[in-house]
Amino acid sequence: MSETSLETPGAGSSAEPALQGIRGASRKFWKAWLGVFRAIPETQFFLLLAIVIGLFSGLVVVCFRICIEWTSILLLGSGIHPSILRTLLVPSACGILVAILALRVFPRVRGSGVNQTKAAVYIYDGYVPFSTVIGKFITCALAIGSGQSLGPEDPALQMGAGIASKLGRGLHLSQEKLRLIAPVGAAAGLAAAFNAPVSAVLFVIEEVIGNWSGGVLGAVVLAAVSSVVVMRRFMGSAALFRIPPFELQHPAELLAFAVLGIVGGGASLILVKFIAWARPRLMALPTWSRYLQPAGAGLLIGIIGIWLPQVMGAGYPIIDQALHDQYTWKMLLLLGAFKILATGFSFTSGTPGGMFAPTLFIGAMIGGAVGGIEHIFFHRLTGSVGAFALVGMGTLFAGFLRIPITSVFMVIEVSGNYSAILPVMISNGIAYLISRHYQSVPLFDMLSRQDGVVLPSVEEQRERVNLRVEDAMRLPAEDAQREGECFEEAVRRATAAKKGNFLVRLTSGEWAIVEPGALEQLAAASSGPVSESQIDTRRPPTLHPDQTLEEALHSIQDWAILPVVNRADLRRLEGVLALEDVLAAYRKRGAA
Amino acid sequence: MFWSFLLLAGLFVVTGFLSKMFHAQQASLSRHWAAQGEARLLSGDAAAAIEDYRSALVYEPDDRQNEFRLAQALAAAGRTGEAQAYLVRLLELSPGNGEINRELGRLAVRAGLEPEAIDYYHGAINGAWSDHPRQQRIAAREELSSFLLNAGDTTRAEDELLALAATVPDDDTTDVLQTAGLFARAGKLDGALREYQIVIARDPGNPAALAGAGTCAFQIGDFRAAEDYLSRAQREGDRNAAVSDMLEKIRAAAAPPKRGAKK
Repeated sequence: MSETSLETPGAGSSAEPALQGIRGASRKFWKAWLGVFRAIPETQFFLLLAIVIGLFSGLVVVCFRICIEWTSILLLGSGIHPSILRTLLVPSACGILVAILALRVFPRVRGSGVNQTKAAVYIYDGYVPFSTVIGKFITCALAIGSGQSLGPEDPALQMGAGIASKLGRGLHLSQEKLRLIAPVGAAAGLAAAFNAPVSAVLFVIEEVIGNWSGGVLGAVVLAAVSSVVVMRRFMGSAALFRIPPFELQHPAELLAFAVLGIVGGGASLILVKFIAWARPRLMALPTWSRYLQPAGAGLLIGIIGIWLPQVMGAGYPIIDQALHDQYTWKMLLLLGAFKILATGFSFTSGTPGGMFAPTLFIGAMIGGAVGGIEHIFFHRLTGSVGAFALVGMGTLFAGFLRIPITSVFMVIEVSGNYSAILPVMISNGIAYLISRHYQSVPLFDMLSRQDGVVLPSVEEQRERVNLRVEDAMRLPAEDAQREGECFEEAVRRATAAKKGNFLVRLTSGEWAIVEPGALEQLAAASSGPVSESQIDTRRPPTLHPDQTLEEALHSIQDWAILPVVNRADLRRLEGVLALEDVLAAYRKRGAA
Repeated sequence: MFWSFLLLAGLFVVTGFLSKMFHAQQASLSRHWAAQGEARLLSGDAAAAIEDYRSALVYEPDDRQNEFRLAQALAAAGRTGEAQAYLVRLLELSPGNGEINRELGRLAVRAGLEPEAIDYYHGAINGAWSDHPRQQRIAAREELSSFLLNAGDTTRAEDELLALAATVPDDDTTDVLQTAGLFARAGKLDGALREYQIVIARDPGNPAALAGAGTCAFQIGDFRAAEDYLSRAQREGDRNAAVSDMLEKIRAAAAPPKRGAKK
């Protein structure tokens, strides 16, 4: 129907001016609002945008979760034990479909989504194509809903980043803000998927951004909070898991959790090593085989699923059951072991989907099994099997994903139980150390390197020992005025030693540099008294021994030498630093 | 910017619609699986009922009634440990719940744990019940008394029976008879007779009460009363061989010796 056909003569002739009036008013209103928005400085606008990103991400993640659930019911049925035919056919048939979509239609959806978001930050100036959001939504809903052993969290993270990137581009943000916007969306997506804003913020800081930059932290927090608000509005405010009451009765029980840390560290190593071994081999196979790999993984998972259907899909209800002592330790051990296999198959086959949910699943099962076995030998243990399952989730998180801080807070946040903090810290710490000792490269870094992309390793950055000024400075033997030495004497000494760039202490307490030219002039005038007025008026900045050499480099600029003074007594000279000293320190460390 | 807000509003509406459908579907699936579980549990297929209730809980994880039924199914399937884990958690959530306490009491009975069983049954007797609380408390005390008698703890059983007798209303024939039977099992024939007499006073033609009262009177040695109760029981249709036997003995003992019979 054309627009003109609506304009029948007479009809609406009285309503038309009113309509035009409304249109005009709304246009004016909108322009006024836009004016308000445009008047806001970009930094503040960025924070407002973070809230909008959070709202969008929250809504999309709600739809994503619903979609996964519906796909699962549609394909596998609503019971917890699907028929054998469905168990075998659905994951493999959907695997083919997912592979076609991932290879032909949405080529950027392979993988978990964490590294892709990191790549957007470090390589593509915050650019995440919106087609990735659509592709990730469809392929992951299909893969997870059909029983592949993957989770929705990492895809939600990438979808959040994609939404943020699209909004940022649409609003013509500066390049700097565009680069920062992907982690903001990532935090929002992850927070909504986990229903845990603190863990999401920490994860993004710990794994994606790598530092507590004030410029982005506020936006990340706002986005995470707003997305969780949306999630809770539509899906309820209940935590992801219903956690049984847990109280540590005796400090000696921490030893039981230390054992869990060792076992959890071992289990996480098995999974990492399996992925490290299998993924490059599968990637090296001919291209046509990539269409079949997800189907193959689906078939293998289906075979496992005939006996252990619990390993299929994200497995949250099963984690819940483990947390409530619903399985014997033998069953928990079986589920943990086969989930490692199933997750390995799914992930290495290139099926899009996340690693968080399977990690939590494996951790809960291994933790519960360890708790069950320990209860056989130590009847007095008060921590239930469910408590061990809870701590186990964090343990695998720490060992497998190598995010120690997030793993601790994640357990506290999803359990709402602070009393678990000590067991979690001990177990997570041990698992993390074991994983780090036996697997030098963290999982996400390893995956990016397998893909031929070198992304900055946050763990390496975190653990890099920064050289400090005290590591490079020289003692001020001949370069500076000594304590108690009068100005004139010091100048004469420097002149006699033919030292250029000599540091002198002024009566004001500041330091000054006597440059080679000035020193000659001073030497020429050495017959008479030397005063401070004869010295260059530029005063060098001072350094402190604990400052990093990076900070020192910022200060050094074109100064030939800088004084290093004590923080508590600015008149006390601890040493001097020149650019050559900095370079020598870096060379020395490089050689070591 | 305008389109972003418009899209946000649209997405909000769509998500709201989807989430309503989603929650309705979850509730419906939960009801479906719970109903199937109920039917299977009643038909004695506890293993299948467990799967059904677990499926129901996937969709409504906080449905305590389904959790309770799952625990019952687990207990019926002999998976005591798992059943107990569920029940203990449920009891932590609602500590005064009579039904959960009784189930835990039953599990403790099965495991032969007398102190735990007594505690849980007392929790059930003093706990809250949603339906017919008086009958449920009486039934719980009857179960406890029966368990104590089976365990040979007659002293405690007597205490429970005295409390039971004081609780059971006189017009509740079934429970009064049950109490009388438990008194008799405990060897407290006076108590048993008293309970039977309560029933007879309200329903003089009750054959079970007459037979029970007759048996008690017989064992006490009050043969006159025993003959009266037992013969009335037979008149009211009691065909119990033991009643006939006792009656015969009483009549034989009361009959004068036959002439010519050797001493």
